[in-house]
Amino acid sequence: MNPIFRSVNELTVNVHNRIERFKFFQENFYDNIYFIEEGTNRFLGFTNYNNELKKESEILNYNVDIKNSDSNTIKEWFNQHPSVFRLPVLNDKELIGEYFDADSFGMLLYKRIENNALSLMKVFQKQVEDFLANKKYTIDKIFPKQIREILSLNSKNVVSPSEIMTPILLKEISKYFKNRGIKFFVFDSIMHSELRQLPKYKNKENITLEEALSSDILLYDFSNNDNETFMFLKKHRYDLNRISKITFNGIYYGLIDYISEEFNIINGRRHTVGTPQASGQVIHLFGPCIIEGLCVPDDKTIASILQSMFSRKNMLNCEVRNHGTAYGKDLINDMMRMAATDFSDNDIVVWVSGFDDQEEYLLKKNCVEFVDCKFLAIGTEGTWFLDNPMHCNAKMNKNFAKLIFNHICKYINSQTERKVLSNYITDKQLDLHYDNDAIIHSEELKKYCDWISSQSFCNKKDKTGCVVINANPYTLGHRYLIKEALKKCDQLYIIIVEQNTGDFIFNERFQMVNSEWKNYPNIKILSGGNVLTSSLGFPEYFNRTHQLKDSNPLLNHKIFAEYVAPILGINIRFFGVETNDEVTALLNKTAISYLPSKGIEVIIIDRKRINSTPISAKTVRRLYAERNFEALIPLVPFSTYRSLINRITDLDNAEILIELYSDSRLKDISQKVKKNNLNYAGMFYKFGVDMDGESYMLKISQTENDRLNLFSESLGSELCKVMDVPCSSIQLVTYHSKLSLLSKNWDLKDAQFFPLSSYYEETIELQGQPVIFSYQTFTEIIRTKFPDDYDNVFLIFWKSFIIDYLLCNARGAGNIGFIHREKVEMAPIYDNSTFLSDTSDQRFKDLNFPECPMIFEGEVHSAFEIIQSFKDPYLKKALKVFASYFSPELLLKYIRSEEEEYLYEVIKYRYFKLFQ
Amino acid sequence: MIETTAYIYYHDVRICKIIFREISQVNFEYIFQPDYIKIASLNGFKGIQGLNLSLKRKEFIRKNIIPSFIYEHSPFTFKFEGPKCYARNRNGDKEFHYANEVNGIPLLDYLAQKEYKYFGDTLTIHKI
Repeated sequence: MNPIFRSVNELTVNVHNRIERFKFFQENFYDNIYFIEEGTNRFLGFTNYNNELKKESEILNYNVDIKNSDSNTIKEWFNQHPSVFRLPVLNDKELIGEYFDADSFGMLLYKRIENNALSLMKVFQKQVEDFLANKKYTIDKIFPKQIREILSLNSKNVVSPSEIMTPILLKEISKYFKNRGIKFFVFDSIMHSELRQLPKYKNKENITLEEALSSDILLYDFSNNDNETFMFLKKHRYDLNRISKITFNGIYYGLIDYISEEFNIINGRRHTVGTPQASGQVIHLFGPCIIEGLCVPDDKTIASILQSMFSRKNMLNCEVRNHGTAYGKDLINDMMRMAATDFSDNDIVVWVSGFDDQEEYLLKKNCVEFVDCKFLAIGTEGTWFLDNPMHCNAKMNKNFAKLIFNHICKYINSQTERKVLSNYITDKQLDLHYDNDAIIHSEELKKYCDWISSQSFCNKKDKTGCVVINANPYTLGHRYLIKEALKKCDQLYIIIVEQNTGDFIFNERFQMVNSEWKNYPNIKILSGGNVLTSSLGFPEYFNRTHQLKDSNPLLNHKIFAEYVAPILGINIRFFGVETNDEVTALLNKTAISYLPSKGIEVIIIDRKRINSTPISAKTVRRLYAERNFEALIPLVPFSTYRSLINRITDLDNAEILIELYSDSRLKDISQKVKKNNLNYAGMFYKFGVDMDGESYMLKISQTENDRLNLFSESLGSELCKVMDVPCSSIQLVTYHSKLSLLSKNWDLKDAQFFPLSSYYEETIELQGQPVIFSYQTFTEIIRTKFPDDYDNVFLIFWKSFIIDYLLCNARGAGNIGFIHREKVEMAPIYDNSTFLSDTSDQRFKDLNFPECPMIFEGEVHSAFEIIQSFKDPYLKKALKVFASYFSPELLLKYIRSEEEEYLYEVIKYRYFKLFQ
Repeated sequence: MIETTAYIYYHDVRICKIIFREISQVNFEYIFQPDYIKIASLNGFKGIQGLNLSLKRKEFIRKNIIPSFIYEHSPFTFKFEGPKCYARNRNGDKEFHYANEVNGIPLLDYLAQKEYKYFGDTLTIHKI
């Protein structure tokens, strides 16, 4: 997430025609169209693509007031709204611009499919002529069937390019397989629109992948007790939808390589675990996300499960290849990928996707084995998909793998060698070729250039330098390189390689660098996008299984020198000396020989050394993996150090959550809760929410200390119940993956709440200044104000005082409050939170802790001393009640978490100190 | 010197004027001027936190302390943000860190602008 401001002049406004709006969204999928009052710029609202998909689109109107926002607020807002990419910014109701996520730009999938189909119509010219012969079709090159339906456009005798090419390719490909004797199986899976008809999936109707990823409980349910999947999703929650990047290779859209611990795309294919060294027969799996296995680790994709089934059945010559491409349902692309894949006559092709009636008819007509597998989805209980039925969990993948296995196993043979490898494109001599420099002509590069041109320095200076770093993670070596580069130029671009190599995701790396250099006016920090030092331009940098001798870093330098540098006015490129990594060394070497010919000076800067050893990110990664944080200190700046520590905490928290979610007390309310703008005084970040028609206060734990406090409140409320002290009704929940606490609001209606501090304030009129918080004044106030409730108030006061002592609270008298209705009553106690810092805090053993804010007598300050020595009949009575009715064991049934165990120890220790 | 005013409303009835004057960061005052005629006509109204309305004072002056009413009606997140000011706490001796402004706007104006709803009563703060 990288929110950047864009002014109103750059925005698209007042497109009142819906058809024109759809045209706009086809090219600008993530953008908004704004509506403003002509002349005044008064903000009226906006619309986006998802909104337009509704039958009747409406004007949306959330926004942010610029006066009250800073970059952290904006970032937090985007984090809390993961499926929103644009946020309108107002100044006195006038639209002045928007914050947008610079990482998000793209074209509507339909548009991409249509563009592809249109170009294929030229290649399959004869078949297209046959298709159109004697039919009075009009070709709609702008809107495909899906959008024509939304816009209620007349569809009679109107076809889009994809409606022409899909049946043609279905026929061509199935005939080709049939003629070669290649077994071709098509598995028809359930689609979102079909699933929506089933009542039990109605509540999952509109959830986006980003929303699903933001809910831990949803992820945990989805993982189905599979902790590996849960950890994988937790780790990739901010980049899962960006792992699978696609690129056009001249024939089809394929995956960009990605290497990590549990998610690997090698040579454009998702890695299948357990494939044999040599294979005699290959099972090719094609399809969208369900085949690629977007939401599961490598070993839990359908392909990997299928491969393990073959191994178990001793079918050891059989290899499963995963050609899945996660970017939506695109039959044409799947078929073009089939057309470009080399097959042996002995191979088996399996295609899993969703097919409509006409497509099913055409496939069956060409003798394809068509398997309806919608029953798998309908008959499956529980959460088996994340946001849509193509994003399945391991359990569902296993069901698919079993079904596929049952259908194909009889065609598995014991052949040890694959013969006659060829593909449809070469066999038919089609005019289709791989484009090795596809990136140069790609949409990605064009979009990237558009974006960086808006990011360049306003005043270009003579010496403009650039460093491109991966910062995986950002080290003192990178800092040295940047500092040295700054000495040699007037302004500097720091470009962070966007593509991840698996250790630290881009956002983390960007933040590490940004937090250190963002305030330097002569520095701009940019992302390398999909193009600069990406596996499109230089795959060897990311996939070290490539043979180095085949490497050609020139394409990467060409992109930099011919496209990026001219836009940004870069004339110096800085590199660090590379001694260890031969791939980076090769990159540097070719830069020295190539870049000067393009007018870019190359300066190599020596490495920063610690004890004569160059600082390397690789060493940092190793030390981090070993959790050797002490050794990291001299190697990384504080921003990186803090980020590494936070990262560990986050992953450790995930492990805690696994434990926590097995606790039936904790329900996730992220999806149900609505902020209601109620404001809550007192400590901690908390806000009012509405849930199921009831009004609550929600406290969220942001830190370890907060977590302890929430547990102490929940335990404290149980303690209050045991001792008959009025206490707000509360329950622990999780909210956006954080431990939270819901407190039910008091039913006030016309009543009003008066804290004791307000009565203290009233004494100003009598004494000229507020009196101090003393027990004596407290008793006087209560005697004057509530003569009838005196006994009750003081007994409850002392009972809660003892509870505070047991929990190490430091309650000020101001926290005691009264509700004024017809009869005045004590308000239930809201806050039982402890002042202890964490589960290793030993201060509870010091009986002087906490110090009590109210003055009782003389020098006595601690709660323990007051309870022991203060003479008061109500205290005596409260102590007697505790001695008679309370023992810490009464709380044992509430003790489940580590924090509660600790608090139980605290209460036990303090209780016995007092009563023994 | 900064001076600003706002009003306390009980539902849609304006019942009290609040004036905030900041002479310096450590020297400021809040003045409450209740409208007793309107207050007398209300049903169900129980009072304003920190003010003993039975005294029928024309003004309630709070020098260098944040009045209970303002403190209670401020969300916690703003209480410790912005430049800190020093004031005597209710014990009269300790320094009490509390901001009278949020993002450069006087706290009173901020509360009036935001129109927050407070959980403890139905009183609201408005600019006009």
